[in-house]
Amino acid sequence: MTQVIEEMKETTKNVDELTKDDAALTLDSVTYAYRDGKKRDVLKNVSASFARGKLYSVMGKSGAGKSTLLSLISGLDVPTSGTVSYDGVDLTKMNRDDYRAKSIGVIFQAYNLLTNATVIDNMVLSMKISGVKGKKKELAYELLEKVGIDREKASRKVLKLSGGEQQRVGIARALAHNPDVVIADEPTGNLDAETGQQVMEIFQKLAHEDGKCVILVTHSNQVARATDETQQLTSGRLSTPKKNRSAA
Amino acid sequence: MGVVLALIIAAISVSVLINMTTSAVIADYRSRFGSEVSLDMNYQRAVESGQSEAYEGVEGVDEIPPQKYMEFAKSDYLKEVQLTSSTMIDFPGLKALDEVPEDDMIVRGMLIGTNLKTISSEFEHGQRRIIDGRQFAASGEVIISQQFAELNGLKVGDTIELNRGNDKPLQKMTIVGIYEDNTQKDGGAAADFMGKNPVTNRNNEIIGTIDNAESVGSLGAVSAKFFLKDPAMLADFTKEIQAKGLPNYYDVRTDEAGFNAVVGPVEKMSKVTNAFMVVVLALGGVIVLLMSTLAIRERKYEIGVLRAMGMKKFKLAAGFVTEMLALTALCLVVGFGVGAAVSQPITNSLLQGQIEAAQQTAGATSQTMEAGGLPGAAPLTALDKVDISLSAGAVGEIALMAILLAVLASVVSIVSVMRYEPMEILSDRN
Repeated sequence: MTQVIEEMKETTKNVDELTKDDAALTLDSVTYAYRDGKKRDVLKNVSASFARGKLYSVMGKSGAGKSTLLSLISGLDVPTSGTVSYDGVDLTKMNRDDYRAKSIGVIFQAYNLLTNATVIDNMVLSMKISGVKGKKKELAYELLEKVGIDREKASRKVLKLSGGEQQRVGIARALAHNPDVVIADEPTGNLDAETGQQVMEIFQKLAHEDGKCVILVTHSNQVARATDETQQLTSGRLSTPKKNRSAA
Repeated sequence: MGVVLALIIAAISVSVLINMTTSAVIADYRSRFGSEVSLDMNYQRAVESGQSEAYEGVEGVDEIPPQKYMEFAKSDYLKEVQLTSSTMIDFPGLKALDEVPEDDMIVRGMLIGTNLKTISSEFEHGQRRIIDGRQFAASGEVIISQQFAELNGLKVGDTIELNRGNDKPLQKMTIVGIYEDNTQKDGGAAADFMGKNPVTNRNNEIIGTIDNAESVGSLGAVSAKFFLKDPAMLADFTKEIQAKGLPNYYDVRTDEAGFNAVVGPVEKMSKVTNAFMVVVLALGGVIVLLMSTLAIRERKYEIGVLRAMGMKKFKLAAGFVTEMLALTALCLVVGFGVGAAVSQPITNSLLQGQIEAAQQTAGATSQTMEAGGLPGAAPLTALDKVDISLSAGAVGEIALMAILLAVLASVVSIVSVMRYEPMEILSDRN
């Protein structure tokens, strides 16, 4: 995995530039309210920072605002007030398409893969959007192998894979462009215990060995305990970070 | 979507091919029937206006003074004028064919003045043929018949002197060519009918430009054919020649009735296909809009995923547009092929229907209709076949309409891509 990522580093300029700063992501007094007539705050004055080289978890009940937080961090949405900054730059001030394509990798709970395309096509397409150069297919196969998807499965259409396999493809695709920040929504929710453990090891390696900023949104205490820090999201407010002793 | 698009393009192809072919046919016939102008005296109006006495005893268009024809011929509305003047002349010192010396005739031949196009057509059709020298080209140049040349020992390069008889001033003309007259090598039918007469013997005709006839002092009888640049210019041309002195009891007209008799069914068919094309385009546009809206809704998720991965709106929209154009190109090939294949049988069927309708309206029993407005004219037959032809213009027009449909469909894609927010799409889906 490290070798693959190292190869990709050569082709993704911005990643090298951004690793100098510790606080990759900063949320400053972020409030988010639905704009559907009734004003309903989902996130209330949330402030937090996430550094490179660390694995974070955000826990909370359904409807607590976890997915909203994830969409704001990933640049898919913008806060009603406050700022979300990447390397000190407000996301609303930068090209969020470029940010999503190059700086952040998102693992969706519902995978969000192109179901009619093959696994390898999903990977290569993601790399193309991100501007990854070099032998994309080879890089994609290597990444897929790391998450337990062999070449035969890689040539299948996504629809032909099980939920767990699709989740792993989602993880591989999020890492395909060697992003600086990786966020994942319930990344082990559809995986068996053994694969879940393998995936967690990948996240730990990404954070601790490759210096990525990894944020997991989860219901699972077990997953949370495997991260460096956990924050609880309750009724739109984020608690003070709690360090986990079991984290590597 | 591809099948529907191909069908729409096929329908458009049929309409355009029929329309363009029929338009060409109509334009062709319009130029044939609609460009030749006839000047006909309306005798009733002439009598009513009290002017008929001025031309008493003379009938037909020749009643217009020859100089007027020359003035009318200078109109800018005309693309072609065919003028022929016939002036009776004499050639002192020379013999004439069919001449009877004791008759002591004042004139023994005819000086034909004409513009080049008219005389060219006579020579083109083989009625006359240059056998020595060349065709006349300028004022003062003439051609004479082989028999006349042999009778008088004339050859190319010689000059002859002509006048209008008696002691009228002589005009010198140079012989530049000798022709053979194939219509009456021995005097011809006219001579048989009218008896031997040097004036009516075509071999005594000395042919040159209109200027030659003017130079001898008289244009004699002038026959003129006027051809308009565009049939639509008839009213303006009429005004102009009336201002130049055409009496108002002359009708200036083209053969509209003949045109309608021949091309009427085709013209009606053209109108039908025109209306069909408008309907197909309007309906096709709506169908394409609806179908692309549905298609893009099916692909909403794809848009969401690609946008979430960081694909730019512009790039995504460009992808959809390219896809649409590629699909349209394929449908254009298929649709055009189908359209081209079925357009001929459809044309035949439509035309037959129009001919039958025209016959029923006219109460006729056959496809033959009398050409109105031309008493004594030969019966005109309605066009019963139009051969569909593939022109570059037709292909271009069909391609343009297909592109228009592709643009319509692309607009839906572009608007959707611009409007949809990825998070919204993915949340809805999830």
